[in-house]
Amino acid sequence: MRARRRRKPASYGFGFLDENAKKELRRALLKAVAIPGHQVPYASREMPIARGFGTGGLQVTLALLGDDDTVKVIDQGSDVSVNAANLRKFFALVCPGVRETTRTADATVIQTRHRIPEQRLRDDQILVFQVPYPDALVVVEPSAAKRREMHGAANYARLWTKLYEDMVAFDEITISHRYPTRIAGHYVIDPSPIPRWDVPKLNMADCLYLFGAGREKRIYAVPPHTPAEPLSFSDVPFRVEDFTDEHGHRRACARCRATDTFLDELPGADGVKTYQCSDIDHCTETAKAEPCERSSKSAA
Amino acid sequence: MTTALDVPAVYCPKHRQRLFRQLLDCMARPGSVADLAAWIDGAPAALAVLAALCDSEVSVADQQGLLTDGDWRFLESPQSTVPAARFIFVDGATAPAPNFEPALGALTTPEQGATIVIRVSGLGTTGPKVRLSGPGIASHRDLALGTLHPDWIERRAAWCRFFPLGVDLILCDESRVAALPRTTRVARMEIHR
Repeated sequence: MRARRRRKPASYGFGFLDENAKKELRRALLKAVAIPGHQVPYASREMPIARGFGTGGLQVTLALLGDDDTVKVIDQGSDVSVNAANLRKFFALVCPGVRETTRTADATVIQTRHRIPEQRLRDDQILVFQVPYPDALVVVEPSAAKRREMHGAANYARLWTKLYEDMVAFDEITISHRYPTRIAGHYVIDPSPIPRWDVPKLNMADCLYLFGAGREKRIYAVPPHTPAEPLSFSDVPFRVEDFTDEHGHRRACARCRATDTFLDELPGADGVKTYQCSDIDHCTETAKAEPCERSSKSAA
Repeated sequence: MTTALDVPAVYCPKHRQRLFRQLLDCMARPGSVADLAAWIDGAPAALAVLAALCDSEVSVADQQGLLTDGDWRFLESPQSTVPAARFIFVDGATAPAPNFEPALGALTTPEQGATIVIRVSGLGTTGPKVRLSGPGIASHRDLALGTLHPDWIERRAAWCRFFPLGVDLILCDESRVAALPRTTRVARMEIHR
C-alpha cells in the first residue's frame, strides 16, 4: 500500500461553514424542532461535494458539531461506502478534535443516508438524515406554493386518495420507502428514503431526528417522544418489509444469524440469494456477542 | 472600553456552538433546564442565547432597553419593533403590555413566528410550577417558572392557539435556560400546602 501523504490541516474555520451560515442553520434547526415536521427554508450553501450527495445532512451536521463530539456516518447501514467514508473524513479534516467512529453506541452525532441504526438511539444522540426529496406531497401536487398551503392546513386529502387508489389498483400501498409519516398529528413528512422497516423507529424515540435537504433547501425535525404515524387505513394496517422465506421461517443474517434486523439481499454469482444485515455495525456487534451461533467462519 | 481583540466569551464560535447544542436540547425537550455557566463567563444567559443565534440577518426587539450599546455592537442585529422582530428580548417579571403582539408567522411560514427570550430569575427552582406535555416530553415534565409573571403563560396560550402559528419562548435566568416551543401544553399545577 502506498504511504498516504499527510494532509495539512484545512485552512478553514472550525466546521468549514462561516459563522453566519452556521447561525442561520441553527436558527432554522431550532424552529424545525419547535414546529415538528414543518419544512423550514434555509439558504443551502455551496459545499465541496455536489448537491445530491448529502449536502443537506452535511450542513446540518457541521452546524451541530463541536470538538467534544464523536461522529459516525452511514450509507445504507454501511460505514465504509464511498459516500460515508468521505463525509466522515471531511468532518475529521474540517472539525479538528471531532472523533470518528463506526460504533453506533459511541457516536454523539450520526449522519445517515437512508437507514436508522438497528440499535435504539439514546437521548444524548442526534441522527441527521440526508434528504433528497423533503416534501411528501410532491407526488400529488406539483406547485410548491400550493403544497405549503396544504401543509399549513394539514390538508392531506390528496395523499390519502393516492394511498386509496393504490389499494384499489394493487391491493397494497405501493410506497416502499420514503413512506409518508404524520408527525405529532399535523405535518406529514417524507422521512427520506428509509425502508418501511425504519419508520416505526421515528415514533416516540429517545433521540432527536434532524433532516437536511440541501438541494431543496429545507430542514425539518422529529423531536424525541413525539408521535410519528405512517399513513395507513384502519382496515389496512401499516406493514414493514417481510423477511419470511418460502417455508414460513424468518430469514436470518448469514453473518450474525440475527432474525430481528433489516436484511439486504445479496445475489451470488450462482444465482443463489444470501441475506445479510444492512446495519454493519449492529451485525458485527451481534456476531461478536454470539460467536458460537455463527454459521460459517468464512462469512464472518 | 472593549476592543475588538477583547471578545466576550458568548461571542466566541466555540462557545456559541456549545450554547446552541444546549438550546437545541432544551427545545427538543421542553421544560428541561440547562445550565450555561461554563460557556458564558458571567454574562447573563439571555444575552448568551441572543449571541448564539442572532447576527445582522435577524432583527431583535428590546423595548425595555435591557441590552447595552456594547451588546448591540457585538450582536450586529438591526433593532426592530415587537410585531416585526424575529427575536424579542423582554423582562418576564412584568406582564406583557396589552399591545405587545409578536409575529406568529403564517400558515405557509410558521417559522416566522417570533422567538421570545424572557429574562426571569430562579428558573427551575422557585415560583409557580407548571406541568408540561407535548412533543419532546415522554409523559409530563414539571417546571418552576421563577419570577415569570403569570400573564405570559396566558398570553402565550392565545398566541399558540392555532398551530402551526405561534411563538417559541426561551426562559433564561442568570445562567440557566429552558424552552417552551409552541407545541408544548402548559397546565398550572395545584398548589399543595
